[in-house]
Amino acid sequence: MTLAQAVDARLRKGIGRGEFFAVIWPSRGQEAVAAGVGAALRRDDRLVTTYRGIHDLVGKGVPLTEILGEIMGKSIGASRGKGGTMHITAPEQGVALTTGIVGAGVPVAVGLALAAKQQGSDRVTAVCFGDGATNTGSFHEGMNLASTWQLPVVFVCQNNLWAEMTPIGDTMNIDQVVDRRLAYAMPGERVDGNDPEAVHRAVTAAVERGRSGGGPTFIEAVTFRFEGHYFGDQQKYLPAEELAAAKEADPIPRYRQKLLDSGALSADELTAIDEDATAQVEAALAEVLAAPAPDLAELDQDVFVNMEGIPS
Amino acid sequence: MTQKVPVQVPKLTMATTEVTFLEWLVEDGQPVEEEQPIYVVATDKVENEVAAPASGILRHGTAEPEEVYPVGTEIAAIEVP
Repeated sequence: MTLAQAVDARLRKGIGRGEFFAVIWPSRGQEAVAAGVGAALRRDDRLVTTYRGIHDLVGKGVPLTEILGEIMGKSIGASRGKGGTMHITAPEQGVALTTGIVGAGVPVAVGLALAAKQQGSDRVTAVCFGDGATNTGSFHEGMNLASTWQLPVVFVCQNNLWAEMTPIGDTMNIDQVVDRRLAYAMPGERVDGNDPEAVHRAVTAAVERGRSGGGPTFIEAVTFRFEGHYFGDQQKYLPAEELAAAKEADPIPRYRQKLLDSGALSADELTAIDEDATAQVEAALAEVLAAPAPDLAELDQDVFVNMEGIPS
Repeated sequence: MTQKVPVQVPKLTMATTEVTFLEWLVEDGQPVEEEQPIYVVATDKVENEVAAPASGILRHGTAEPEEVYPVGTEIAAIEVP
């Protein structure tokens, strides 16, 4: 959680003062979901996420140089600098796809789960998306097939209550996103997305179900995004009191306090974790800023396996 | 040896390709602290204060009020002792 927060904060600081140039969709506020999901997945389990997925990538263990490098279009990026924030892929950590199209990751995740089933693998695919994605046709098609074919998928809706600039109540006539699973006879639950342990418990149970042949699960993790839709979004559409109330439930200070109160970690240990996160980000950033842009020869690489029949 | 840290026009939103320089908040040759707002730009009809990327002496460049500058333009430098 603290590492994802440190990455997000450093990117916003550097972009805001002209130190470097990039486009991000900040994940600040949603770190507890990513931590719970990432810790519940095996390394070879697949993850599909969205452009607001930097926290998810950190949670799945993608090296910071690959994340920051891709965001800044450098050759050491996860997609060798050719994908940008919206298209980060890291096969070694199981990150199959980051998509820039709302709802588009869902059928891809279902396909990855179908592949695992056909290959006789016990790996599970988790797919993260926002509340807005559950209004798309691709979401419902994916949910339907995953349930019909009992595929090992964990659908994780990171419900941050806003779809770009539109509040959730303007686009759906149900009280809880989790109710959408009922149309597909899919098990699932709604959890506090600002509580990493609640997310972890729910995702762990869903992963076990998928791995043991029990089919898909839908999880709604209710959270909030503090920095708007994209970096620089002034959030004039967002009532100030709603943002203030959401920040009261900021998962990071809240979990820090819980760890302190329970005696799990001391204040010094927590501070050391924060400092280590900052140091990791600074070290990765220095490496990324010094790295070259992709070579021109990269232009037609990774496009088609076989160029035969492809017009040149 | 003095190191010069460039002050570059930031990409303030997803759609920003250029900004309108409005004014300096710190005089030429004055000391600034990292993160201190040092100039104001307008983009998407919104005014933004831009923070210093380092602590040191601010050296204004050639930016003129109401002039438009592309993202990345070096409009000043900070001399770090």
